[in-house]
Amino acid sequence: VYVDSLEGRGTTIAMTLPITLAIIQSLIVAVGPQRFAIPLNAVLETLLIDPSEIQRSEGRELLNLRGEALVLRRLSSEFELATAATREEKLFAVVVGMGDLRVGLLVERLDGQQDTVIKPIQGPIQSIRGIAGATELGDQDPVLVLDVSALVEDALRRREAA
Amino acid sequence: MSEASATPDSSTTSRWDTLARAAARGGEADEEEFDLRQLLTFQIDDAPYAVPVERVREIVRIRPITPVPRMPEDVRGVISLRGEIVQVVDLRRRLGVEPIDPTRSSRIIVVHDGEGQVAGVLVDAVTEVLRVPPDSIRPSASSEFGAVEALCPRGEEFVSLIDLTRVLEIDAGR
Repeated sequence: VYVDSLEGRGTTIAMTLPITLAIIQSLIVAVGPQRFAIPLNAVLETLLIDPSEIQRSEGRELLNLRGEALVLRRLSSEFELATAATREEKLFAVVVGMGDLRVGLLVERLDGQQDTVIKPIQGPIQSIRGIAGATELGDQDPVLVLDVSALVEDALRRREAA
Repeated sequence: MSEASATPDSSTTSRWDTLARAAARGGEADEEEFDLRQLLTFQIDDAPYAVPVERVREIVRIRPITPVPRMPEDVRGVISLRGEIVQVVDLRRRLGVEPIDPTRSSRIIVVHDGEGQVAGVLVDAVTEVLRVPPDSIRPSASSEFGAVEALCPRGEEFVSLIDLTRVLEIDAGR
């Protein structure tokens, strides 16, 4: 906390909050019954796509996004989540970015935007790749917050390796 | 979770209050109990287990546990404790017992290590706080999973004292 006071002018109180206490806007997405929060500052756009638009190349899935090849990652396979959706159903691609890098995360549903407070996850396991923390949505319902930079990095590193 | 489903009958509430108060008092026992150790006892199936009461921060009812991808199976997921996000270790799995879905009597014992680290431990039911003379606690012969550090007699049976440090040391690589 920083306080600056000038006689006759007033006082400025500046407080620096760690990211874990800052309230940020998040996009809530879902795969099956499980919801995740994606910090909105990492989201560039969301698209409703038909599975027929998905192209394959060397085991990767791609989408032609206005002439650019967008690498797609299914959140269900990334996190080994149970999904009831069939491969024919329409999906949402959440285009996330880090610098110039872009990846489309495929999810089943978008559940709107929420103000979220990112909390660290306490317990024996110190860190989980791809998960930045968690937030409480509604009554006692923890929702995991995705670590977009780790997910983008992993998706594109695999592309280079392929 | 709706309020209604979380409302217990009053007799269990007072029992939990007693337990919670005992837990909150921690190691500071009354003077006449100065020499006694307090153990919080609980059940896995029908077997009695215990942890030292001074390691217990609180006991909470079962609540939504959000599974976390890429976590070892022994960690069931995370819960929210008044906004604090805490991992829940399934003690059945840690003890090599077939996991089950939590029931109405399941409880999450929130333990701490005295250095600010907390974790939830899922058990089938919490029973009582046992006061025992320290010399009645005997180190146990090495158990298969190394999770039991000592045995303590209670009537005809033995209560297994859990080695929390061991139980909470989970290999992140599965």
